Amino acid sequence: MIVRIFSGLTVAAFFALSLLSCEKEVTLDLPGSEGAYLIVEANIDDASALQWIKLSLSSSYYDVTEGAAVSGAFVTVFSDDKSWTFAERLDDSLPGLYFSSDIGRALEPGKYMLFIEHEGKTYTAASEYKKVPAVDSVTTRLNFFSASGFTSEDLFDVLVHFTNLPDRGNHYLIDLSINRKLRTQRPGQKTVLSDEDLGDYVSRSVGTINGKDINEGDTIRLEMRSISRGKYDFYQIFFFQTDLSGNPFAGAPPANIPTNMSEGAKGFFQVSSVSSEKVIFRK
Amino acid sequence: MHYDENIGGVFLLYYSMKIRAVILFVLLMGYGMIMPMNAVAQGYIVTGKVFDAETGETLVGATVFVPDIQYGVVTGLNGEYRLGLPSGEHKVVFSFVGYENYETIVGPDQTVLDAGLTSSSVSLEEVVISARQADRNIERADMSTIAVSMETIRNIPAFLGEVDVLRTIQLLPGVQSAGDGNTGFFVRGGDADQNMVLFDNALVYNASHLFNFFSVFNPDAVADIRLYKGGIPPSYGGRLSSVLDVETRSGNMDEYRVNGGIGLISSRMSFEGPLQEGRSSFLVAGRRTYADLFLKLSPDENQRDARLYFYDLNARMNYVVNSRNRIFLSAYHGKDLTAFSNLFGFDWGNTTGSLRWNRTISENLAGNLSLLYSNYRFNIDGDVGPATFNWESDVGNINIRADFTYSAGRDNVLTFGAGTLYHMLDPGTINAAIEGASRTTTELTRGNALEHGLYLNNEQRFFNNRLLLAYGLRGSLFQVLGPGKQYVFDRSAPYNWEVSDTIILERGKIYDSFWGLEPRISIRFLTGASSSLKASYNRMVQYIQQAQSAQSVAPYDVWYMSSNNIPPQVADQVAVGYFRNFLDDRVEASVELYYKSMSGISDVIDNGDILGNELLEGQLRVGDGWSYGAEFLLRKEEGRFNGFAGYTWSRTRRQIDGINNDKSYYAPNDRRHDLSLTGGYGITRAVSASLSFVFSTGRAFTLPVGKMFYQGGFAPIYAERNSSRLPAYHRLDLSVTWVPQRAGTNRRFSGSWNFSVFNVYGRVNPISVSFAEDSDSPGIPRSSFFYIPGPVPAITWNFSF
Repeated sequence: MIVRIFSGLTVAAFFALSLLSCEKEVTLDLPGSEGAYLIVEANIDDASALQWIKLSLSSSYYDVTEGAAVSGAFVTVFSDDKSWTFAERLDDSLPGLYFSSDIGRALEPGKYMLFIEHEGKTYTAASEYKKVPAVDSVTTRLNFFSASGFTSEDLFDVLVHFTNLPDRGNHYLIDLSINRKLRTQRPGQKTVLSDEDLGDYVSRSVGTINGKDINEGDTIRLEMRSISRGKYDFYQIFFFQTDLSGNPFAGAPPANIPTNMSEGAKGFFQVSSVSSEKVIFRK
Repeated sequence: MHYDENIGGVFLLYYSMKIRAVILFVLLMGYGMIMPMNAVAQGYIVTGKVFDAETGETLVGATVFVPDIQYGVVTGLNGEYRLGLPSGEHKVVFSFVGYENYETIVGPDQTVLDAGLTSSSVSLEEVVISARQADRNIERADMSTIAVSMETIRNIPAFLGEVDVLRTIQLLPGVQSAGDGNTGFFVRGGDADQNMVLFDNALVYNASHLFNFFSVFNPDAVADIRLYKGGIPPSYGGRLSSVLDVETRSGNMDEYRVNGGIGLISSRMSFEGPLQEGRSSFLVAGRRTYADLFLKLSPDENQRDARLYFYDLNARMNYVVNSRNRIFLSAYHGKDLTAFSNLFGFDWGNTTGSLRWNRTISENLAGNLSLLYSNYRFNIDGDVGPATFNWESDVGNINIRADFTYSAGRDNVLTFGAGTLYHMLDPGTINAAIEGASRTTTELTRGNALEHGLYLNNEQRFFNNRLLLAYGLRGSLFQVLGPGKQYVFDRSAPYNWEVSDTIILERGKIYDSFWGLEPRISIRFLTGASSSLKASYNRMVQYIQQAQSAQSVAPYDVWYMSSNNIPPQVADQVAVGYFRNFLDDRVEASVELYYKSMSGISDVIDNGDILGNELLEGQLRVGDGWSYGAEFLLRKEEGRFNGFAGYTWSRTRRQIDGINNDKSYYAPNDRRHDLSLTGGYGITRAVSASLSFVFSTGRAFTLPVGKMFYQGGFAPIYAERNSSRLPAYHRLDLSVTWVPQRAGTNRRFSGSWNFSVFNVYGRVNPISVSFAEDSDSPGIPRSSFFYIPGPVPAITWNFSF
């Protein structure tokens, strides 16, 4: 919460500075890396049985294509007493994507380990699966800036309502879909919450939808995932690194987004529980 | 430096005895009961004051020189001097930058001698600075110290026509600019918060206006500036890297004067004159920008409602009670006001006040008793319906100090003094009310502390003035007082330090105490009639620091003090230099080499959260830094053509466990090469021109080595901290001043036009760098610079009557 407010503060400061400055796109002579980094996108949840893990390589900064897919790795997730092997499609139609068809239904509260073996190196990460509160309801309302006439656009807030868990120290990730299409795909678009900042009962805005992108009768679906403190920081910093990049007042010097992967791999491994709720949109 | 209670108690007892002695001394001084402590054998003392003959304003740093014995002194902060002379008559030469020399003969029967110097500036020499103590830089013991007159500052092309003290400072060797749009500066590898900026001896916490584009110093109110980069006298303490001493003008003792200027973005005016002719004077000066007035013309209603301006007010009063007593009163208040409609408001500003009583106690003893006040506060308000936000911060200090000069003969001058500064650091309470939030208040760690200083310095000449030795010691004690709060961190995790304990500090109790002994030594050896070798060593200790963002100093950067988590910063600096004058002392040249070792240097961890964080100390790591370099200066201040050239080669690195995988790295202010060229030329009686060119290696920066795609978005993957360089910085500025020649009776009124162009050839020098996807084409990586577009022309009309 506070982070987003301060991001607004730095943006406001930068706005004042920008009255006297210009922006110019440049291509810099960037330093080279000794080799590509393994990027691990491993977000496992209990929403469906089929789960996947994506492995790719980092690319040079100005490369407009995604990093090369990493095929041929051995990918396994362990719990205390079980293990699940993630495998690529046999027809090589989706290189770099590793699937498990049953882990999603078998998750139970506890710790999970991810092992990736690739080109002689073993990468590991750990994550804890925690329960997420049930979402009571989802509502919408006209956004403050539209209601006050500050903008002529129709903006609508999406609000989530749920009862917080009695034991604090939990973090949540919120995704929004309209008619089954995910509107918060990229990390900077997602909302993360820390329950240390929240009351016992939570009713708050977790996203804004432009009226041009939604019609009466459309279905808004909200998904809430339990995430670790590390993944919470991951999204906050992702937001800072991308949306506030170049803001000279934004705080710490540029640095890599934290990871829970070992051996220099980037990305994150997270095991989550999911709760969701829908609302039919009415203006 | 952290000391236990027993050692601290002993030091405190010893110190309190010294304090009592000083208080007693001051009381006695007040009643004039101090007798001459040591008459000069077979000699006599001459005291006096050097001032501007036209305005009556005292001249700080003027030279009083006795050629036949090759001995001289420099006037102090109130323009006063004390000169020990052997028996007999002597010729005395008074000189100051921008003024004609004044020579006279003194004898044993003349113990008070005031000198009024006449300004050498006439229209032809608008940019010519002439007549000064020619070999001042050779003769004096101090090194790594540069005095810059306002005449010099006014003649350097100005950004948007706003003559600026801090922008001039950035041109000097050993001083690096923080970049365009930034009045922050770095001295010999130090951070911006390691510069002590003083306005009439009162601390200035944030010396910039309008997000660092302008400094708080109104040029109409400033008399003189002096920058100490090293060899810092022991009367100064509390900052690691430099002291920038800015003295305001005293005001004209004899007649009323008005000065002013109308520029593109601001106007200023000052009014000065006698309160009682010959005894007291005043000066009031004001300045206001009016960028916000142009916003009213905007077709956008929200922009019309925006607010963006600053103002400054200066006031100073001098009162000559009698030949032995003078009182000086000075005050400053400045404020920036920004607002965006009624949604967001952000105001900040400094207030300072100085009251100084100067007393000539005896023939060879003089003293100053000063009461100083400083305050910096900001207020941020936001109200966007579901979220309201307020943050008020207030930091300040009250400082009482006594400083004395004792002349123990012509070859020996003692300075000593003591002071106590009461810090009041209240970074503020942040109230943020957002729907669904339980926590609405964040109380940042506030702190009060006492910082005591006690110093003694002796300047002594040997071998008929061939060798000059200045040596002294400063003792400092810093005591953290309640009320407040301290956190104890569990440091087992490399990055996320969790709080393991919270200590509540009770009001009035002393908790942590730190102390430092700070030796300061300077040696000057004359190697010829116009050359000298100098060397210096000094230790500096700093007890309060500022958490600063990566690329720029923000008005809401908070100050924090040494604590259970943050030790004091300590710097040891050695410097050697060779000073040589050419062409009958018209051209000064110097080379200085320095090495500075620093401990207690703090930096922010990767992705550290320093903004409004009550657990700020857990986001910092502490280690060592070191800087070394060579500085070259060539200066010609006389004649139709004048200017200076400075070049610095330097290297600054840090090693801090917990940052950059514990490996050493370049400090953000590391610049390998730094070149400044400024020059002025009087073309005709009415027209003069000046230029300024700067070049420096790009600043050390963290650049990406690649990028990672994750969930459809991407983020840069960065190399080691500050392992790359931004492009080199360079810029050319020009200005032309035209002084219309007035024939006729009203000679009192004078006006001048200044035309300036900043960044003549439009070099793109980045303020900051962005690595983010293209907002119009998500997923496409791009990089961009934010920069001040150039060229920026400006016109200013200055007047005086």
